[in-house]
Amino acid sequence: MVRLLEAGDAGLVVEYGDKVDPELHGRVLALYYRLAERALPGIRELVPTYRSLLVEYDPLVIGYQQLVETIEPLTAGPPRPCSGRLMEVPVCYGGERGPDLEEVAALCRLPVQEVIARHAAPTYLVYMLGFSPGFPYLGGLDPSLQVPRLARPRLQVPAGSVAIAGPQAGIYPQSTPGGWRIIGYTRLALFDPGSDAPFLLQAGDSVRFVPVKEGEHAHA
Amino acid sequence: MHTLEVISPGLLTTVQDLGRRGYRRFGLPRCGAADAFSLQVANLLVGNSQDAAGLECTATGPALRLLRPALLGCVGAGLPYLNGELLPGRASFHGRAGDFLEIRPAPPGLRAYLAVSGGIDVPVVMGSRSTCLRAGFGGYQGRPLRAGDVLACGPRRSGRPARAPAREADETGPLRVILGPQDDRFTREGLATLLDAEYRVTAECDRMGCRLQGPPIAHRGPADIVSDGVPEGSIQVPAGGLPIIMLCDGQPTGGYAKPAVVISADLGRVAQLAPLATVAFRAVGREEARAAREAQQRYLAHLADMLQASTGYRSFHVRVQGRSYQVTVEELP
Repeated sequence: MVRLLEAGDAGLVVEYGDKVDPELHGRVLALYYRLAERALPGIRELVPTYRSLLVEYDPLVIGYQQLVETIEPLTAGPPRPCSGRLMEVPVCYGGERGPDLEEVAALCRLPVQEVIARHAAPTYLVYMLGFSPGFPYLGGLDPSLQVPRLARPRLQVPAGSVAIAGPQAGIYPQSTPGGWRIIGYTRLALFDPGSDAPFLLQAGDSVRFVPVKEGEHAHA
Repeated sequence: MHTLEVISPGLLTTVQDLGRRGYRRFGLPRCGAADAFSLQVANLLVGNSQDAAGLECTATGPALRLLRPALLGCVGAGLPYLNGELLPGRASFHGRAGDFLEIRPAPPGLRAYLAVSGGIDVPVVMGSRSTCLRAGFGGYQGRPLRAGDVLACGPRRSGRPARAPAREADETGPLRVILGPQDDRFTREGLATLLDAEYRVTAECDRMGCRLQGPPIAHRGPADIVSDGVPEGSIQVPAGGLPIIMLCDGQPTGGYAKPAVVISADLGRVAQLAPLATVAFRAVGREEARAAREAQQRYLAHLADMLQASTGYRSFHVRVQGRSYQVTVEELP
């Protein structure tokens, strides 16, 4: 059941449900692509999330009723589960830049090598970007690796930290405070404001983690 | 051309225009002026286009030395002192090379906007000159101004000092909100609390958000939601029940339920909330929100017309294939 919800006078939320689910997310993305292709005047931002699409608009250019009439027929239709892009992210696990790896292994009652293998095995889905510019919320973590957030979040998580929390995996693009458990790091830049394509990832992309040793960290 | 030298930076002074558009889906906030309307007025007063970059000053503004003549204008919660002499706010004035300009606080508001003829000339990054403090890019080297920084401005256009007319009275009273998108996640009493109670702004009040203190707002069931989009002006209510109003540097997605969103015409007023200020909310419909936005646009259009009548250039709004453009035509001597 799709719900159209007002979010102020310049925002409309198209809500597909209230859970984290690839099929539901695929329907959010499908609407996102349909609207992005139409490039309607007055639409300023489209923000896809786990379960909804936020449409931000200029109410002096496109009225609410007109927006609703445009969007409603587009909410049905087949889901579009992914963008088709697969990004490989080289990760150096453990050590100083993966300070929580051993604790995660203890919490999961697994050897460290097994934690690495299980973290690097799946193909993850980028559900959305948020928290900080370019931060990907990744779904698809092996359920045996689910650990709670840190009781005391760190004031500084270094840029490039590869982290997990609950059913989610992520990568910190900038140095920010954060409460996820850091198991490794990547040198891949997720956000480069000076580049023509400033963001490495977008919602709908697939991500795989590739373990590398300290010395052989790729200059990707 | 080098125009301003920073003698002292003030509490938090950044280069801001109207912000970045189209990157919120990547987790990048709009950035830009927190009180965009005040920056637009300041720009018009000095003959700039409304979206030129100016300085956003927070509480105590900067002390600046002028390195060449310029037309300047200060709008919002700041008072301009030129060589020690107080000049009127909401007005533009001439400065000469060597002049000393200070922006002092003007409570009860929090932020002042200083526009300079030609606009602050910093590199355009991702479509904007605004400073993104969270990711450290844009504006002047991605950071707040420091003593010794030298700011360039674009070429100066002809223009005379002018004063902006007073605004009609929608600048006071409760902040206007539209209920939703998660008003159904709160009890009836919780929503009544939000709309009836008076809140006080805490010291945790920055460009990301403004935390309020007051009676807690009761959720119906669990407080957190699976993350969804967070428009500017969203009122987020975490489990503790105390609201946070999100501003221009707020993250675009979040997992706190939102009982209401402040209407776009009142976002500038949110940006002017200083610690200890009192806040109340009033629910309105789309029609009232639209009327308020139209009134703001009329004010800006009226100001632009008024200033054109006294200067040598004219600007036109042109619509081509559904897009709006602002075209400025200037008579050359």
